[in-house]
Amino acid sequence: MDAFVHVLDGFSVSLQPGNLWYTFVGVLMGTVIGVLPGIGPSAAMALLIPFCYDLNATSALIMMAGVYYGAQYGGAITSILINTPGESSSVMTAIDGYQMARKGRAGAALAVSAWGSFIGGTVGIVALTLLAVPLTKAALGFGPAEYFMLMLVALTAVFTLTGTSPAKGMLSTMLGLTIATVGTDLQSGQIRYAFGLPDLQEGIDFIIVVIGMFAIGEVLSALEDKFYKKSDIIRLKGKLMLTREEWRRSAKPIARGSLIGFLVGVLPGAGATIASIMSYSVEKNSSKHPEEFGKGAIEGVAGPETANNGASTGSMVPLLTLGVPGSGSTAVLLGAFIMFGIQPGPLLFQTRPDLVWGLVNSMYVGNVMLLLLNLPLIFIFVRLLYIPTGILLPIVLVLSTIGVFAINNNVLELYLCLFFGIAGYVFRKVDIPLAPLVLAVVLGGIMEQSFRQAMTISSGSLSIFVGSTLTIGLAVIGVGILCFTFYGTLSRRKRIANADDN
Amino acid sequence: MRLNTRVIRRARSIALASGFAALSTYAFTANAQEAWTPSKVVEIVVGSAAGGGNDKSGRAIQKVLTQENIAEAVVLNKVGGGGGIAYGYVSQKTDPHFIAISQGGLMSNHISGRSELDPLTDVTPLSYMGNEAVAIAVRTDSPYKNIGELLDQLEKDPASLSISVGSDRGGANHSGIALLAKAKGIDAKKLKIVIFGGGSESVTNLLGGHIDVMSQLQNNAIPHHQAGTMRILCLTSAERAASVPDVPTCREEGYDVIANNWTVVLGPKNMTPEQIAGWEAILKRVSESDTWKELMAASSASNEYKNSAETKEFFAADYQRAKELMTELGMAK
Amino acid sequence: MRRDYVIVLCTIALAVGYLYETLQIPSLDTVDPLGPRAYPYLIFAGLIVSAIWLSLETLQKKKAASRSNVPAQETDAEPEGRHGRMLAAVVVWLGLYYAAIVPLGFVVSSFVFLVGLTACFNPGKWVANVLTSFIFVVGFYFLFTSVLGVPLTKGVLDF
Repeated sequence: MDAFVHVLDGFSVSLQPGNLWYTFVGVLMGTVIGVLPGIGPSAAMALLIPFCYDLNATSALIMMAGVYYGAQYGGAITSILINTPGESSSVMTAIDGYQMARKGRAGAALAVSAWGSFIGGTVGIVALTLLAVPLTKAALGFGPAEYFMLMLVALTAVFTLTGTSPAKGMLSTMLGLTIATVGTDLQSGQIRYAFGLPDLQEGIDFIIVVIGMFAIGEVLSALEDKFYKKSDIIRLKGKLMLTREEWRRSAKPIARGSLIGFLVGVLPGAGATIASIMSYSVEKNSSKHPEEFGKGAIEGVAGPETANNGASTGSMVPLLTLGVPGSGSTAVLLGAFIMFGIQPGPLLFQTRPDLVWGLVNSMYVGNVMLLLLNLPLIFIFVRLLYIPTGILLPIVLVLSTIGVFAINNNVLELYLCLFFGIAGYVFRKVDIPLAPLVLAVVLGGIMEQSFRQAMTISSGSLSIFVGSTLTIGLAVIGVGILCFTFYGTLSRRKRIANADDN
Repeated sequence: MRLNTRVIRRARSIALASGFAALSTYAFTANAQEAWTPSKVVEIVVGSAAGGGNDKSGRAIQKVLTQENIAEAVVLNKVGGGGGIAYGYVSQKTDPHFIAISQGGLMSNHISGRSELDPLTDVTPLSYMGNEAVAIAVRTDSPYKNIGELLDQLEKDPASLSISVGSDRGGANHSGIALLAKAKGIDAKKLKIVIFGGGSESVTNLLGGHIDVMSQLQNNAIPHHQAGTMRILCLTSAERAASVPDVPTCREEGYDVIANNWTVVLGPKNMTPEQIAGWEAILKRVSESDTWKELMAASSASNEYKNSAETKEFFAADYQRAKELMTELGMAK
Repeated sequence: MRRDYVIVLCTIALAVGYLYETLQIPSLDTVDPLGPRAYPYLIFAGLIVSAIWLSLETLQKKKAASRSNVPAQETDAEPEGRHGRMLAAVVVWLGLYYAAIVPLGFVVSSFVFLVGLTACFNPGKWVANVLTSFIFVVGFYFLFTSVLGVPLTKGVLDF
């Protein structure tokens, strides 16, 4: 098998001591970046470039790639411990992960994210090795109409995230869509809802919304609890690592998460965040106890954390096969290719197989390193929970500030983050779910633009949305999910009603 | 980390600039008779996120400054306003250690009314660092073998083909196809233009069969032309590109259209002649460095250099050209 | 229950504001058949619909509660107001912090911010508060600026 030979060749490159060192440096830096809220792998990768001037291209790229997928490991840590997602793709992890921590299962949550990340990443690399070219062809089949249908399907996930009040869920979704419309409208070039501020012209960065609503909102809520002395320090309960029961429950979410993550990641534009949202929704739908979600269901951590690693690996596919970056971080990687004089593009596999396979194989090594790095770190990280809340909460605020400020050096964004923090606090008080808003902010922009692009191409005809097998297939899946969810909710309500009556 | 060359230069300028106490650094080097050189960290401000177009140029300049011991440099990403925030930030600095990387958006922001920053008076153009032409490309299975056939089809029905210009409404990509249409006598406003988030989206949509034509900066099309999945009909440059010698320029095909995306380094609004001369010398070195040449070659861009005065003239002309086109397309204020 | 009606009113107010801003968007000759206002109109409709739906839901809940004679066990039994002032103070303190970051520099403003808050929320333990604040701020400053190379404002200190 051709691929097999390449894989072996690749290992001869990636296992060189120099490259092993660079892999390590990369993944370590990636983990640190992932843990820190706000600043993401793209910034870190760009900052590494000057350090790589004297390196050969393969080593440099191995290091930078390490930062990229390493960040997907670290993001879970602060999500679980202090409800402050380190990366956009760790938002879903925060929802159940933080609740697990409050129940004393922080170690288990951290362990399942480390293992899930490892499995998701490794499965992704295997899939990349074997399926890169055919997947790329399939991914090219996604045009604006198909993306719109995909976003609609993803949006049906909202119905699984609403909790007790569907009306509030819809409100949350609508608010998210509203936030997504702020900025310059891509199609017309018109600036919308920026109130004359150039800082708002590019839209509101998702991570600002997330840090505001999750981190600052949670701190405000926790300070209130502290005021009434309602909370005490959560002691760790039970085994530090995963119990057998928890493993059993996590197995299927991890399997599904790897698949969902990688496939979603291959599509340019849909990234780790969307993958983690879809994984969460699939898990909630597949669970026998969906009411546990939002209160500390381990499936809600296992699935998304696996998916985001699968997705970051998947994003490498269009980069390597077409020279097309699938996300912001892969765009930096692409820039690095060019800085090192490598011409990315469809011929890369032929012109520089040593580079491609060296890089891909370094990812196997990197994932192993990350697992070995993260598991022992759990012991250290859970100790953080023992810091008195009076010190921990202010530190979270400063950490959020650094995170947001480091992105753009923009003080206005800090105030915006605070605004969302207050909003997050209010949402908690009045029981409006956060997850639909988060989902809508991520999807809203792509949905609108894809719809209008498709309409431009079809000259105003709606038939383009049922024009290809993909669109029809996606429509069927979407309707299917809706029926399944409603049926599930209805039958559950009936069961509860019957139980009440008895 | 203090650099040796800086110490030597400072000693020289103190000797030359008779009897000033050498307490502060920058103010006094400006008084020296020789051209200005950086005496502290240079901030290269870039209006795009890491990995974006200007960011690559910024980091290449950073590399040369660092490796050739000219100065310590950092790249600052200030995203927003289509580059406007970055340009505004540098424009109002009083310190020549701040430079910005600019492209055509500098002009179009002002013409469309998006930004108050006047490119002709609010910034100092230091050097023109190169440009990249636009490629008009179709898939290899397309029935159009040359630009003439494509334009014939558009003449018959301007909205019959979907044309992607990336995110570049009114910019170089859009002007490429618009000027070609104009040369054929077609009303550019009737063309079916699709806007995507960037060049890579254009590429995937063209390859996937969702759009018919793309008008993008040539670095997006060349790799695929070489791989045989796309056919570049013509390039809007004056000369053929070395990496794809079989692709004609639009001029050779009979349509005298030149459209390109240029890169210019800007300095703050008020600069002294010594400071400008100092930057010119540095940027000329950058332009001749291997790093910069490789960057230009990787995107098949043209490594043309113009000094400050020439760039200022160029700006005036380019502003006019952009204003005319944008007014025609209905995008001017 | 009353809380939910407040939400409904706020939503409607927001929706109206949003609609007003939408109408301000100039509609020039655009390339796509829908234009920049179409989607916002839909969102406006969606906001109104969710407001109506929420009111209906709240009414239903009220009816259900009165029917089964369950006393209103909303958490508005909580004493309001007292924590409100504390939270408002925290928000203001945050606002001041953000305003100080550029002029005073990251290290100084973060340190003052942290000491202020920890003094309120971890009262009495001065040594622990000041020490942790100092280590954290200085540590992260060096982490970001030296190790990661991300510039943070210097302000009054010069290193």
